[in-house]
Amino acid sequence: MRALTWHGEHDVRVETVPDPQIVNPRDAIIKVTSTAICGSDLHLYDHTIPTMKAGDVLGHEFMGEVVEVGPGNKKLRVGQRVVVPFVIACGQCFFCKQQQFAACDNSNPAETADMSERLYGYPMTGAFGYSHLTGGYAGGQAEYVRVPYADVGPLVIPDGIEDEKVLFLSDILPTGWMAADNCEIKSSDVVAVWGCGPVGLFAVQSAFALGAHRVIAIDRLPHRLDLAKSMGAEVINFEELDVREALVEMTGGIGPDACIDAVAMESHGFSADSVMDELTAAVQLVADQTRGLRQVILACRKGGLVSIPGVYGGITDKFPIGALMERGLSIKSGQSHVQKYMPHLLKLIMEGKLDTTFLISHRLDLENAPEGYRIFKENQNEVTKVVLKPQGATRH
Amino acid sequence: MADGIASATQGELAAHKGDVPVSRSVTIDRPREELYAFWRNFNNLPLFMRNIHSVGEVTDDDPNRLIAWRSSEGAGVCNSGRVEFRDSPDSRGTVVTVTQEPQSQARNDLRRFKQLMETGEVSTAQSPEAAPHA
Repeated sequence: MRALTWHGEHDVRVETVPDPQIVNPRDAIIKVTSTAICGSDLHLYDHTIPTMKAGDVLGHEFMGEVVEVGPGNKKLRVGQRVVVPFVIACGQCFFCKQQQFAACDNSNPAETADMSERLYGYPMTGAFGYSHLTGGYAGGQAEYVRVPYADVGPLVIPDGIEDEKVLFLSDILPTGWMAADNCEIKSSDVVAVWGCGPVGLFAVQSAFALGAHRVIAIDRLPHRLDLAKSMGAEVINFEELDVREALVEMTGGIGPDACIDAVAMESHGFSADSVMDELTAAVQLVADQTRGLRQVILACRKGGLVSIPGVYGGITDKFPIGALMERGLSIKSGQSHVQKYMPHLLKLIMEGKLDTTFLISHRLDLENAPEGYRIFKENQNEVTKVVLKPQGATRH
Repeated sequence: MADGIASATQGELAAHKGDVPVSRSVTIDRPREELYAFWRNFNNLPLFMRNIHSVGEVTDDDPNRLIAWRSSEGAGVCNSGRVEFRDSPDSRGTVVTVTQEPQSQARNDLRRFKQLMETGEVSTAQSPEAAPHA
């Protein structure tokens, strides 16, 4: 099959690779009909995430048709159309049972769990197409994907809804939703969102859907600010205004009740070294830049809530811990528990209360994916989201 | 001490440095008896252990609580260890503690044991030819 493979910094190629196969009884094989490039894919493209290997298949936002089901999977049927969460969850561990699917204990294989355990204290959960830290699973910018624990993750989509309406249930919509949900929004709340990329825009949309009274969106790119405005947000261009002062004024001196950091890690990432023994040391040598997060903490009202969908990778050395403590802030963070939110979000999409199609700026064949990466990186104002379509091909 | 209840001070289970073999614990959401029985049936060990050729000699066996072993004389890899099964003090299932050389092997064997017992599968990103058989 054809797949988008990683080969180094700014070097991704569409190659012919072996088709995936059923390995474990609960697996399924999905024929991909639509897949997208994520902002966090650009960290892989820039080679700032360690543990990548040449030939790794990228992509963690994908959907398609079930073409094969393992003998232990009693839920999926061949022919069903599904959206697949980017985090892989077993459904049976302590965390999955509490619906903390992005914390699944069992999906990162034993052989790859050590690396992230050394970095973070506990192993990361398995995920598609995102380095060997998350298990080295082949991703979905490809014609076919093997989906483990496929009786837990994939969400069946009813007929009659086009791909573009539901594709972002795989990652960015639940990520924006959880970021807003973590704000514990009350009907009088003012929510401020830093970063009007896809996650930030979905966080804006979600905050309104969850009942926020006002949402203030912050960015510098005019087109992205326009998108936020079209959703009903008030906007601040941080190249024109002092953000904190503007927020204080706009909230009558109080400050926003909840603040969402959807800017997160700058593209320089958190490590350039992929040798396992030096991993921890390498991470601590290059601190994550947290200018945005500092601004978020300094702007949030006393007793307010800071929601961090991320992504961050390493250590920061300039964190206003005093401001956080003295002003009594709460922080909520984490990768999105996609499986938890998907059914409700699908319902909202079908009822017309959430729209995801506005975001898509470019549609390319899978064969042109490398060009998609390039324009996504170089023109963030006009290129808001790139969706890839694999060409149909017979499976060998 | 109540039968099988893990010590309130998890410090007893903490790793020791130096010459003393290091131990590693995991909590598995299955009953203690089921986990002991699965491990005690040594035909099951290759499902989650690597580099196992033969158990050799069982040096201690306390049903539903403890199995200790030593690899046979002349075995390529000298391998002795023990696995203990205790009820989770936080009502989350069973705490399984393996004390064994080498410790990295025990750590990964335990991960695979937990995956197998909780989900019925051993997680892998490998293709079938390279994947561990489950």
